[in-house]
Amino acid sequence: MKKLVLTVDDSTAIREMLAYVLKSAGHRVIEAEDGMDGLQKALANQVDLVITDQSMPKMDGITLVKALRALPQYQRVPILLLTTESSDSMKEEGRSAGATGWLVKPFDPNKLIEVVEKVTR
Amino acid sequence: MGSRKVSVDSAAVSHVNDTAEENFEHLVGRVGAALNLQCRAAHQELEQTQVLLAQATRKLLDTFHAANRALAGLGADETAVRVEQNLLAASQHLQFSDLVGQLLANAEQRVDALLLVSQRLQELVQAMGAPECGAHPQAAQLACEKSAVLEAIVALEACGNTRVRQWDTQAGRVELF
Repeated sequence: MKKLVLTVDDSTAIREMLAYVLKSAGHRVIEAEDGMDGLQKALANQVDLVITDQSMPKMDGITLVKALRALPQYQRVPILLLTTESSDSMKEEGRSAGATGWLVKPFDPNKLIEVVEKVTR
Repeated sequence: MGSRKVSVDSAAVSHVNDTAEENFEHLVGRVGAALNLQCRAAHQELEQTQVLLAQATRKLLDTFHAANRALAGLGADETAVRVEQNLLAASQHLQFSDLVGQLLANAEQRVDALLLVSQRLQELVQAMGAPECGAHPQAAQLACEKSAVLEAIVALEACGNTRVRQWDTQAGRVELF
């Protein structure tokens, strides 16, 4: 079943490549350029999956995860962190915040689709 | 990795001797000025690189989307499948601009911190050479300038390690919690 995915990243290239890959798999995509924008769009649209960067202006990814998890409608929605960072401490912070998974950039398009299918099943 | 050959000529030795004779104050001032000049140049080069990267990325993305639109009219033959596979592969490698952009921003932050140190050093040297002034005693002015240098050094030291560890555009790891 095709899903509505919110992608949050301050990099245009990442947002456009995420949209391309997700749309090519039949999903619908909403884009946000920072955590604050992401939170507002998540409130305005009930999405099935959130894919967010970690390091962004205004609000970082882990703060966004915490903010979304505090909302009843986002307690069970999968949230993936897609970031250049790969330190264990940062991953642990993401996991504690309530993230569903951690993807290190650059993402493999086929693997991304596989992960999206898996977490939204 | 081969060792770099360093040739030393008599003019350079003489220059070093001349430098050694300079007083400390002048030497620090000269270091500050040289650092300042090079940091400004490096800052401009990094800025220029960011502009070029942004422009090239935009063009690449537009070309990518145009190819994808053209693909829609090709149907589902073997060529179309090959083009689609190539576009998918490109979608991974086009992410380089995010990694490079972050590395450039990190480098720019370091250069800016170094630039501030060089400016503060020059101000300190100017204060060291300034004549006594009744209204603003030189000792107090010097303490103020030294404190400013220290603050700039602390800011330089605070430039953390880069978060970008990638050395190529190979796909990163996926971990589900």
